[in-house]
Amino acid sequence: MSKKLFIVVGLLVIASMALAACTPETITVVETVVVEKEGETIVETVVVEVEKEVEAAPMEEAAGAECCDAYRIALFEEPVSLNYWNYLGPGSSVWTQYVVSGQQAALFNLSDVRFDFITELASAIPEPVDNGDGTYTMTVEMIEGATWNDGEPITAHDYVFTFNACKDLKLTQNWPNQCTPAGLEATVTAVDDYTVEFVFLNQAPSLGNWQAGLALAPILPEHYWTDKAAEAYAFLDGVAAPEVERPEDCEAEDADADVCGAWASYDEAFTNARTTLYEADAADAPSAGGYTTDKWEAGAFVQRSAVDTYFFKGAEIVEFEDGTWQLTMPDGTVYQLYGAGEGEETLRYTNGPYSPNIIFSLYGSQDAAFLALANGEVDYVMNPLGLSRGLREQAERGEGITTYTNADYGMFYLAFNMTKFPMSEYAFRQAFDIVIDKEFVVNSVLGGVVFPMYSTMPPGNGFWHNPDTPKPYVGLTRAERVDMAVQVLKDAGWSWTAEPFWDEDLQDVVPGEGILGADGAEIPEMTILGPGPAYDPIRATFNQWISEWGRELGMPIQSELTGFNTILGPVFIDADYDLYILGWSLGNVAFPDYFESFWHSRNCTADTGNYNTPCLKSDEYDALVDEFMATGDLARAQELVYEMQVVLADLRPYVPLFYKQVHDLAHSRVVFPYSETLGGIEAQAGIQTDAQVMLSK
Amino acid sequence: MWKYLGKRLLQMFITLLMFQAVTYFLMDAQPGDIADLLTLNPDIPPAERERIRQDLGLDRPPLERFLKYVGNFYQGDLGVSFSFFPRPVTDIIKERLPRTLVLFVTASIISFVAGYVTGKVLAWKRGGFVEYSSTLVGVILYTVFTPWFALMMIWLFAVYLDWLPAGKFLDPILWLDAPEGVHANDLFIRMIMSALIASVVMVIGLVLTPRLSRNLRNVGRWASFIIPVIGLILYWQLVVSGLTVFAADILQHLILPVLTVTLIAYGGTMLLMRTSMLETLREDYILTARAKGLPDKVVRDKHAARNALLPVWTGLVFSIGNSLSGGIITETIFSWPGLGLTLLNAAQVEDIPLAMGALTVTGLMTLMSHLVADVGYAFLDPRIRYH
Repeated sequence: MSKKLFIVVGLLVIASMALAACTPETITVVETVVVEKEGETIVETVVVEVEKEVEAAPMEEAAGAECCDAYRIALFEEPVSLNYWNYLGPGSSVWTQYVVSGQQAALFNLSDVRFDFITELASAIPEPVDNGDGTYTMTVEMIEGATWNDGEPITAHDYVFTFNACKDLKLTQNWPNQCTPAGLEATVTAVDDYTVEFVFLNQAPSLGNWQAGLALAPILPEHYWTDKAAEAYAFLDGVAAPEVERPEDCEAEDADADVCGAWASYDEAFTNARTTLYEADAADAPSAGGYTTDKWEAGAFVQRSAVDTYFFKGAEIVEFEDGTWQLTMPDGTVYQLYGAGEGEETLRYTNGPYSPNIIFSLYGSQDAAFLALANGEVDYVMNPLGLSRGLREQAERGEGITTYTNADYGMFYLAFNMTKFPMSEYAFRQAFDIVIDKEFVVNSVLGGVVFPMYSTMPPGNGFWHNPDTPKPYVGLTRAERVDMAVQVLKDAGWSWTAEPFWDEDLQDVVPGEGILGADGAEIPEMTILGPGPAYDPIRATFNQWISEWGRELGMPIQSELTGFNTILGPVFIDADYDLYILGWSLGNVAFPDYFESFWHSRNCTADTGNYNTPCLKSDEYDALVDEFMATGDLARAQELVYEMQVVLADLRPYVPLFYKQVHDLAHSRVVFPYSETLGGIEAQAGIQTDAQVMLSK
Repeated sequence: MWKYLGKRLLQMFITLLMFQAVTYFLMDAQPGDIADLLTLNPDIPPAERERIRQDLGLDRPPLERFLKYVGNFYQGDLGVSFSFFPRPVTDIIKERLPRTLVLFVTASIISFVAGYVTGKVLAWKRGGFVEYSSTLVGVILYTVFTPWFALMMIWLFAVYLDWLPAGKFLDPILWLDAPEGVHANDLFIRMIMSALIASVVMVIGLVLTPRLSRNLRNVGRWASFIIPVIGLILYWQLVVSGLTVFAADILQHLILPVLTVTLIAYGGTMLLMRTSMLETLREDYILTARAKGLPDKVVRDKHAARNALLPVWTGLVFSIGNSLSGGIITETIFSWPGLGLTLLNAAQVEDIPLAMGALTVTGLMTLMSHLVADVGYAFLDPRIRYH
């Protein structure tokens, strides 16, 4: 029996060795890395050789292969619906975004790679006219000839229809930013079929309300939606807002039942109207983009097919070193912005669509999707969730898999609740900033999987990132950090019965005891809320190190690692927390209005329910933000954002901790027009229209 | 019997109501709600959160919402899914429940038949190499870590041998050429219905066969198998010939998950049958049967196996009842878009109506399976009678 056992074990060992020997070893990794060099940030692309020989980069292979096969993309959740109204409303989901992206039209857009404000259906960028009565007019001329895929022309009436529906029906969620951005009141009219006139009633046109607002708003086809919208509008016939002001609390005992009832009926009419529009079947809705959705087999796949009449098909896009953006239409018409087209070309490609079909295959989990990629079933995985190193390496073992690495447009941070003592104390926040050794956690504990962050703007967004944001504690030793933090607290009047200090013999900190705040104030127990290791091991690691360093100073502080949903309530709803660690994906690359959302005093969560969770209230900072939101001058906006980063680094409502890189994995038969882009290829929804999938690969 | 059934149905109704109340309030007690998740975007003002809550009815107190939910539920309205807004929950369940049921009912029945036969034979021929090795295999399959085993099955059959698809419901590239108006779900239902009709014909044939004369009995048995199979072939080749290739594609995608679930279920069924059979073989009536000089086959099949079947039958019925909760892991790994996967996703995003819908189906199936098990006892064991 034992002899047989030895034979079996021996065979298993040999089999496992053979398997290990047969493991594919060729991986090509194209990386966009952020390099900090003497205060300057450089974003560059490098080809990293991993383990063995490096395959040719896909762009180089494009010439020798024939185009084009179906572009097969893996999703691991189902889209919610194909109704664009619903997609920007309560049916909002990133999975829907991938499937409907590009089907709407817009007057303006953001350029590839550089995210400059450029024209799409507008023929030029208009200048505002001051009407002299506090209102401003903006007139946009549209390009003629663009059509929906059913042949109907895209006109100014489509824009006006979409804008009015958004406003009249009080569409929810992402819609207000499309028709009333930043509290703007405006009217929009179609002067003729190809001219849209905007009148700004209560604000001057600015980067916030125009370039990041109305100018980028989606345009939906009036001829398709008019009947369905009429059904929604029917709920509002004869409905008017009650004359009496809306009561604050209709559940209260002394609430006026009649007034509450009138408001409830009013709200119900709008709810019914909105729901009617969100519910409408839009399976055959026309598309203005390179693809239109043809088939959706629930739970299995979604098929998009190429639109041969796509208006920009065959147009050539070129970007130059001097900042010029140039679009040359197939008929030779050239649209050019921001320069004379001098210097080296930084980007050149011709608009698709190339692949006859895009197939979104639905998988049950992230693992299943990446297994399908490694197995050659799909060309690309749409992955908005981040990718663990293990899963990435496993997928990279598949034949012909290329990894594209880009800087992420996100920020992970520690936030202080500035409405509570001692987080409200400047010295307390500064002491924490000093003792948090980001470089140690990132490099020594986490092995360099993320990058330490010092400013509230990720360095990957080169235009807005201020490289001169102070980072005074980089390179300090543990002993220096403790001494400096203790000194800062002592200067602010804090005291200990036994002061913390660095013990040279122990090579460790001897924790402080009996800590008291200024004027002998007792320090309450504190917790740092944060996601647990199952959700995000990096944030959990930071959390535990930070609480440990806090305890070394003598602070009564603990980590509380919990579920993401459990953090949402105390942080974003009740504003009842001490400190927390979370992350933000920062949205619009071209206009970082999060500087207003996250730290302007009018957005204090405790007061208004908005997103200034620390409740920073600084007149200096508010003034900077107000000017930033109101300005239409890009250079001035950049100066202001630079200044805001410095102010925030000093006031410390957040201590930025780290930022990540994103990894996109694709089969090498997919040729992307570009692969260096902030947020990665996934943030561009897989560059569906302009990607080529080579038949011979 | 009818009085007993009526009493049981009333009990079931009360249990289901309690189950719904507990699950609803537990779901609702989770921190935050879907409106928080949907509006976690600094560009969305907090007033929007309230408007979404209002649109979804989340602004009302939990008790009011529960009573409304229950009222609507018993009128057949399960509400609208939050995460697939505004799709009705009933639609989603109708689409996904058959997929889960087919996967697990098929696997349960195959594993039941295979486990019953092998468990019976192994207990009868105790002590040999075959029994030891089979028992070892059974224990391994019974105790194996399901996700690992499923991934190994994918690696072996889909990656290494490349015989079967790694997962999913169908091959999208093939389905691009599907005729206009043909949908996978409709075809799947048609496949289920045709298989169900064939099975019913088969069972009726097998039930009627013993009534035939001894000469015709064998012919009848064969005919019970052959006629439905030929009927199936003719239907798919002649009546809906254009769809055969698509049905075959779904069938091909079904093989690996069914095989995996079957193997996992088989281990437990076989071991249970073997143990039950071993206990039965020690009973006095088996000794009596042998002493009467009855043939081994009769003692084994009619006297021992039929009595040993009771716990295995219970296991089968309960496993079908619990298939939805068991399906979460299998469906996730095989990307099988059934109700288990739906329940998992709904619970994660606090889509209360959808999660409640899926949980209520689980509760109903479990309660039904208990009833079926009890009623089935009466047929399998003549000593059991309900009053």
